[in-house]
Amino acid sequence: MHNEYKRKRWKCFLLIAVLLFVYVLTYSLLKPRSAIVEEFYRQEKNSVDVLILGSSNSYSNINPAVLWDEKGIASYLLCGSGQPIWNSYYYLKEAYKTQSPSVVVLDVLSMASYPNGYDELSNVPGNIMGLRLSKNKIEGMKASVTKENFPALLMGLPIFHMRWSEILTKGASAFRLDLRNGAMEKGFHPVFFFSGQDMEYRPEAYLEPGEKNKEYLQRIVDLTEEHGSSLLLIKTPYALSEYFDGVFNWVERYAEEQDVAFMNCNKEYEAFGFNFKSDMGDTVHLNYLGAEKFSRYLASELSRRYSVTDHRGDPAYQSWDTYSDQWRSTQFMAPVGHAGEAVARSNPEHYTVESVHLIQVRAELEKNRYYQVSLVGAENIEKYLTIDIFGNGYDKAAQKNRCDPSGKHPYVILHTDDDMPQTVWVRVLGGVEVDGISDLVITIWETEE
Amino acid sequence: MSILSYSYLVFLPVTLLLWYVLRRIGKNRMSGVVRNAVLLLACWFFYAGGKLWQLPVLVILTALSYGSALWMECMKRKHARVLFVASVIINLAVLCTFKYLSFFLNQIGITIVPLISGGSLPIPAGLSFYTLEIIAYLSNVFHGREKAERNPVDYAVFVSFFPTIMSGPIERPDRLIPQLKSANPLNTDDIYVGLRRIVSGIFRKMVIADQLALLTDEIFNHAQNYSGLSFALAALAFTVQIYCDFSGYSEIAIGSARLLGIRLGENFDLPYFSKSIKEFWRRWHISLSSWFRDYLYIPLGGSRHGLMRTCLNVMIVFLVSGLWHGAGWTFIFWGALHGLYQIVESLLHLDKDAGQAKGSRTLLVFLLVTFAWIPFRANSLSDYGYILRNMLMPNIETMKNEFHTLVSMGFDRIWLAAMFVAMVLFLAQELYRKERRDSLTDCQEVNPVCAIIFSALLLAATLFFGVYGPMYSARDFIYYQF
Repeated sequence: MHNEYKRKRWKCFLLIAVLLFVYVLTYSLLKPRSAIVEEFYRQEKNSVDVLILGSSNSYSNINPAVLWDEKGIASYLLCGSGQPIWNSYYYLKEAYKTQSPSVVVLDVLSMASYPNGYDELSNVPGNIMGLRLSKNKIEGMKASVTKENFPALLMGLPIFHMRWSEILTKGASAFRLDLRNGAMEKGFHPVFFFSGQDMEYRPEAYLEPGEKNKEYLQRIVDLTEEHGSSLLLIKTPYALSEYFDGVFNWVERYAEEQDVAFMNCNKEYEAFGFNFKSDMGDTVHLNYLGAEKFSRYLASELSRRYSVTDHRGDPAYQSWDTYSDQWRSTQFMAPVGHAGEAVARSNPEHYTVESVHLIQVRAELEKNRYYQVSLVGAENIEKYLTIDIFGNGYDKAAQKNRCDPSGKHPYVILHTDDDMPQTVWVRVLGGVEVDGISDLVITIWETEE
Repeated sequence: MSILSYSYLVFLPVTLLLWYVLRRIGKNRMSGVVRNAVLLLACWFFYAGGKLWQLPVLVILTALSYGSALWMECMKRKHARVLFVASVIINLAVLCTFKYLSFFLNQIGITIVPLISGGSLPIPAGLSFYTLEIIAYLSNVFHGREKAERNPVDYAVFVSFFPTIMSGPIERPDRLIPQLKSANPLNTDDIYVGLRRIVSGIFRKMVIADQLALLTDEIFNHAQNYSGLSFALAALAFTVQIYCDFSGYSEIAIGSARLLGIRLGENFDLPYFSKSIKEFWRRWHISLSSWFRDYLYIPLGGSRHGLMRTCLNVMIVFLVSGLWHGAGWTFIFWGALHGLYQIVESLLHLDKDAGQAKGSRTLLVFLLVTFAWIPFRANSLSDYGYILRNMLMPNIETMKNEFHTLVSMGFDRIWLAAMFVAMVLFLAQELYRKERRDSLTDCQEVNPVCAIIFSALLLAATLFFGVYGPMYSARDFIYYQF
């Protein structure tokens, strides 16, 4: 009888243990990883001198490799897609546990985002889930969502379990995906698009941000003061509408009142040679070339305004050297002869190709000739791609793709004209999701019309 | 509060903890009163959760029926009958006012309460279920089948028992109240079985029913965009959906009660394996079917007054059953269809032993039941007419487009693969239950290792494929609305 009782009890405990295990296992399998935050925790204690907070306007527009190469600044982008200012605040609080940055840079796009006080749910996991379990994380969660959605966020799975279809589509590789797919070691996420558009800033616009945004900005001002960090508010180039410009102008007035530094780069295009046409990746982000320009400018401003130590040559800061080398070797470029073949190689060690944004190869072409450019790679994506040649303001897009007689590989015929500079780039633009592609081969040869 | 809400995830363990502690503290009469009083408060808290206005209706009907039953016992038979009829009428009047008044007035062109959105009164949750429990109790006491309950707390817990109040099973007082009074020691088997049944329930509801609902909602809510095979597919999907939805709810309710050490009656017994419509109704929503049998069909005379009267009684029961499911012509039509099925079946003696034709008879019953679910799910009778006409005249060309539309909406290979896995688990459970009667409800007969692995698979499937979280719009159980 006693044995029977013991058996029943064990059966019950085993069931409870197994069910809990299934929950924990599912949670850890489906939990989206936040590479930026995980990597941040791995930084040497007190090694980050300049901590950068904000949204994609920071992580795509500022390249820590350039800050390092220019002035030896050890910076880190602790950012998240559409990062609301309340999450910037909790990230900063968490960062102070292990780092003591002398300068905190905050991109103020978040002052214009979520004026009703809450993030869209799709952006929430990327801005809070990566934090280690702590008071900051729980408070950050509370600040991120409405009261009704807080239990779901606390449990986690109700928010992100829908990734199951991604797992089924992509198989095991999806387990490795993180929310900032493609983010590099110090948090940089380069954009390889070229939007080619022009924009204009509206200095006269003026609009007050939401109350919650204002409250958290003040909290950040107080927190940096408390920890003895200098706060630099910035607005990277971004001029989308009167609404945003209005809020940025409000921040300018607020910064003056609070005696906080504010760089509204929309008013300083000439200072860093910014050109909307060539340096924007889309309407709201700089491309990697624009980011290079902007970062160079930011590096000089940081060293001019603050006494940021130049750590180049210091063995304790080798990770920034390594990252800089990595960045320089990861760009999608390969030399090609005027009738040759180039392999645009994405380096899977450093950059997982989830979507083909852009692949480009340098080519030596001749004027007034016809070239056939074709692309060999995954069949599914080829029909979406566009191919063109560009360089030094020259931009010649093909009208549309054609297919070779086998119906397999798309190609375009491009005509070069007198205006063509001597060296051009052949660019393949995509934007569709592909799986496991590490090599796409671009072939170029001279042809008849 | 819904039993699929985050609040329930906190409410249930807290209530269980209190219940276990109070059960351990003492076994005398007084401690039983305290224990059940705490349970009653928990039940009312659960019921009122978010909608406080519902509570007075429940409390008043509970108090009235408690008093009436006690009073009936002290009265002469003639007077007791008057009180019994009056009490039943009060309960039915409350039910009809909330549930059917708007519908009937709408039929004659009057819209009541224009200030209330939709022109109809909000219905207190679970009203359709607990009024039937009260009527059963009053009837039992009046007919002397059971004694009136003296303890108001025990009686109130019976009416407002949180696992069953929202959507049943419609419990009988003579089964539930004695269990509430007894103070059995904590039994780990109850926890073991209770948890497994809850896991099975949430799997049925959140994976199968809610995933299929995405498909059936699309097709039935946009009937004009679909035709032929799509409707057949939707009807089949709804047949599985409604079974998993309601049996899933029942599993969670039965499991939750079992965690308290209370055994509720089974509500489903593999209904789609029935070999006749009559058998289907013995296996489908058992607590409701048996209620209608005991408190409507038999009082009407049952089958004791000749063939014609029996047929009439059957039809009355099914029309009332249809109306009970919802204030709408589609539900009445569904009830009438089932009444008709059963009458024809009786006349042709098809409800007797199927002999060698068991398989084909089961298939036929399944198809007939599926066909009857179409008006049940259709948004209106005119929609139903449209669906019926188009089902009979499928158009191959438009069907291709419809399937492409469905695939582009997300019902693609990935979705099908997930549903396939879920259906394999579901069918495995059903077939296992069929082979080893009650094996999943009685833990003694199942190898615990297999049982635990199976529960783990169900939970994993739910956590992966389930429709839950704020990204999906939360879906109520279908039977909440009845």
